[in-house]
Amino acid sequence: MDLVNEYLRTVAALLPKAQREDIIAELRDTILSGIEAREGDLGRPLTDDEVEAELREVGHPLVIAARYREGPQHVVGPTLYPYWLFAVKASIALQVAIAVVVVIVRTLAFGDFPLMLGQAIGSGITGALVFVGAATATVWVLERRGQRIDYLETWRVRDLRLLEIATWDVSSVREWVVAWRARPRRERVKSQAWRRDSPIAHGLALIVVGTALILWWTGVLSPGLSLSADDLRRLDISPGALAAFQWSGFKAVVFWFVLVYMAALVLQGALLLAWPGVQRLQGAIEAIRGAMLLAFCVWLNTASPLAPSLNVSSFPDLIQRMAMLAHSPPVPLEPIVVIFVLSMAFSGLVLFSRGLWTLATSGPRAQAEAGISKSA
Amino acid sequence: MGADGDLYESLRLELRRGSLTLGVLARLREERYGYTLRQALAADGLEMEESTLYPLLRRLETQGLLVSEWREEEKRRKRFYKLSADGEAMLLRLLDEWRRISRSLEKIIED
Repeated sequence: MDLVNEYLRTVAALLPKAQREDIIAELRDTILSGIEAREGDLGRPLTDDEVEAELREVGHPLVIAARYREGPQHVVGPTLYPYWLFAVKASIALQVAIAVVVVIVRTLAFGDFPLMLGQAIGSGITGALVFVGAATATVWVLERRGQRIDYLETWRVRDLRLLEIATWDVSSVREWVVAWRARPRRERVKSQAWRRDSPIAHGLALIVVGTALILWWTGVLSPGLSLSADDLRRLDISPGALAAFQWSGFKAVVFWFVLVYMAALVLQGALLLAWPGVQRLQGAIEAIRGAMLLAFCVWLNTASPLAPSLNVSSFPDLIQRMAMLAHSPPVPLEPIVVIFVLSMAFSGLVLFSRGLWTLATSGPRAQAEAGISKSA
Repeated sequence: MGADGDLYESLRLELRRGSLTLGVLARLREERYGYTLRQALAADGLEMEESTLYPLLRRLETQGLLVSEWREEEKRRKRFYKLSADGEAMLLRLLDEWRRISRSLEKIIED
């Protein structure tokens, strides 16, 4: 009797409160009926060992409690498993690619190949585990929310090219490069057309890039590419006035702004996947992203801790900055940063005007004509 | 048991899963509580583990196919289950389907 009570107490603790009493009362009756039947057959009370065997027959409390629980009894079900597996494989391939680049760059800077390899393997494993964990957590939530995922029913053949990434190896890259070079130039440009045609590929790319950036920015992932002033000198780059630049202080100032921008990338990607036809929303987000980039560049140039090193206020200024590159080696870092900020400002401008253009030109009719609404 | 036996076991479980629900619904045209239901099914040749039967009963009740009530019998409170009107209709439809599958299989096997 004590054994039965103890067993039932454990099961009860594992059950949801609302159903606990009801289930336990029924289970108690079943177990006691079983024991009484056995005792009737044997003509004597059961020993503790025999009671225990009966309870084992009923099942482990964890299993019993799980059977009564609503919802799926698995982390990744058979429907989503192929997608999960692909995400895991692709993310590990991405990790390996990042690690290879990091090892090459850092070996050039520090020269200590075995140490750099060891560090890259270490951070690569951490990164891969984070990715696998994130993929698993995402699928776990999807399985439990019982949400229908549009893509599973509305995928399109032209998006499938993206999947080939997972089956790539060195030889297929070589073949692809050879085939690409053999093509006339006009066709080369055309081969990029799927980027524009395929909202799903674009959306996925935005999500992947945005998520990777957020993970890096928040410090979850550290590819180990932080170079100190000394490392730069070893790479024949002269930091100049930028040697005094404090990354951590700078990052603290712009942390939230940059995080919001990265989140906007993921959001735009998610919206593109959810409603590929709603172009105005895309335009609005692009315009906002462009404005953010532009504002960021203006701030960098005028008021940020970087301003003294940039300080490009006129065209002759810029020419003068660029002329510094002629004194290499060592290559001065400042013009490189100027080029980087300028190209960022340029992409901000492009994003902003493209976003506004989309906003202005695509009404509901344009969307219908584009033929990429959900029903298509 | 070898790999072959394991495979047989998993295919058999898959084959049985749907039929068990049918057996439970059919047996509950007459009111029973869990323990006697399990015995009746075993006597019919449909052995069922407790950890499968009870959650199944609860699920079928949530789905409105069964009704239940607590009553005292043999000095203990027991939960009695019975097929509801919806359950009766569902059982008839499922039995129809079951017979259709059975006929199809018989036909295939005879060929």
